[in-house]
Amino acid sequence: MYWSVVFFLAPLLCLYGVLGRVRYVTPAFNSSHATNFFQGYDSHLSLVWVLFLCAVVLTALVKGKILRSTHGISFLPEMITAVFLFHVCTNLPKYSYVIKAYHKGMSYFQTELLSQDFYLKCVYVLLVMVALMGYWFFFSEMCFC
Amino acid sequence: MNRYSMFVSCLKTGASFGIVFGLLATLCDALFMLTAETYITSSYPISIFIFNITFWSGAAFIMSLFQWFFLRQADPSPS
Repeated sequence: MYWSVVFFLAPLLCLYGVLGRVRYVTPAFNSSHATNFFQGYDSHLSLVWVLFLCAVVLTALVKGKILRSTHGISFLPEMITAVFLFHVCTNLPKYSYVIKAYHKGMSYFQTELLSQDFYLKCVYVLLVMVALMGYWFFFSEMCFC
Repeated sequence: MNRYSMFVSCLKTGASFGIVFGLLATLCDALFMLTAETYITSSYPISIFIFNITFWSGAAFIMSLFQWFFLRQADPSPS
């Protein structure tokens, strides 16, 4: 089951994360945009969080803290958490209800307590913590063995 | 475990990972249909289902080959 993380879970999640940014990969073939290829790539650190999740799962499996079989369905909680991280980290400014909540809050307080950029960073940290801690405390014990 | 059963085990693991992840990717791609301003064709749900299952199963098949090559080297017992 350790090999399932190394050979299947981590590569599949990395492939999913890299292919999700395929529009950033395309300009690399254009020489005028070649210098911007790695600039800003994964600036939202979604790949880092997902690799951290894989490392946590691997360590927990080795120490026997969680129980998994070799089948893919057994790793469904990890996959759902990783896909959630990819979607949230990358697309957070595109979620209209997040921006609407900011404007609603600012109009309620009648003042600009915090900038929109800082608000998005706070929401980002909150959602990443909810995803990782929620996985660990609620879903890591789940076993579809 | 001989090499043939090891190979079959790797393929089964790869197939299960590919199908499960393909279904999950299909679900996430299907979320784009929920926004009212997005136009999608009627064949879009079927297309993403077929594409994701095929693509992720293929990727997992290649990964299962890598796993089999690794485990075959790690276990030098003859088949």
